[in-house]
Amino acid sequence: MSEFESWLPALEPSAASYARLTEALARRNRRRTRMGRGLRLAGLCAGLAFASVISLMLLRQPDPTREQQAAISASLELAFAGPHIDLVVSNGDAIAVPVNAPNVRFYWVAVATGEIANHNSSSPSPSR
Amino acid sequence: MAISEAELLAAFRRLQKPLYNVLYRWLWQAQDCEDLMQDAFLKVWDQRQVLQVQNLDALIYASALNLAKNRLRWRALWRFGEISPETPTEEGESPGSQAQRHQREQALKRVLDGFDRDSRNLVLLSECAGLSTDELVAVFDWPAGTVASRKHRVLARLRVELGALGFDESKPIIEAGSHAGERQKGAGA
Repeated sequence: MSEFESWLPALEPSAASYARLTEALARRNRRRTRMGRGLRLAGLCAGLAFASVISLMLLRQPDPTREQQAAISASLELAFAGPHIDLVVSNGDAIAVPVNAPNVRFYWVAVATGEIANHNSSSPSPSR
Repeated sequence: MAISEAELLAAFRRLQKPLYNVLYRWLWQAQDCEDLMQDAFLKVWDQRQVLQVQNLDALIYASALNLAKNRLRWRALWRFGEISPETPTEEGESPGSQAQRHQREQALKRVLDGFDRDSRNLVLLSECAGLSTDELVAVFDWPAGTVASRKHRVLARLRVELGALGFDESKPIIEAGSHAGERQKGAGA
């Protein structure tokens, strides 16, 4: 018994405190279960998305036009990077575009298609 | 080893009353004490994976006292003026004795407010919660000698300061009918 009991009398807490705590713990556990389920679902979705991307990359058919475009771009980049010599573009067609400025020649270079080939009568050789 | 729900609930049953009594002498509001006890136990529950069952009681006390400190800081920021003890009404208690109890609590609050935080916790944990020196060592993480000497000093000071207040237990501060008597005297004059 404390000598200060008259100053510090024992007070009674509410009887509902225990029930309140058990309820709060149950609510917390429920929320954790829900959160775990949500995380599992999110993980599953992410896995599916990743698998789809991988399978699309594997299953994609090679596109000849895109490959040719890439080859032309590579040739142009190589030509511009090197010393100033005549540009050589392979696997493509070129159309001379009329420009007013003297000493400037302008060509539209693209993948060889029938349409370009028809316009190509006056253009340099595709292999040059 | 992690703490199980059953162990936490057992601790709540064991500590509910002493902890409430300690917290009440900090917050002076019954509802705040109830809320804070819930918060302290839920806080411990959230950290159950890294806690040891042996230290559970000390951890709950330390956690609750920290939360009380934060609550008081929050009150100081958002409220103006002092909190007056909200004396809980007891069943069948006369208004006179309730007023007396309220007055005692206010006097006690003034005395306790004069103590530093650690000394106040030491008084409350040893006198309201009945913690032994070993248990106090676990809560404060001080050497046993320090706990014993500080406890001795702080209780001596409390004894002196409460004694100086001079409350007489047997005599109610507000006696029934005293105001009426005064009024009658005033009317007669």
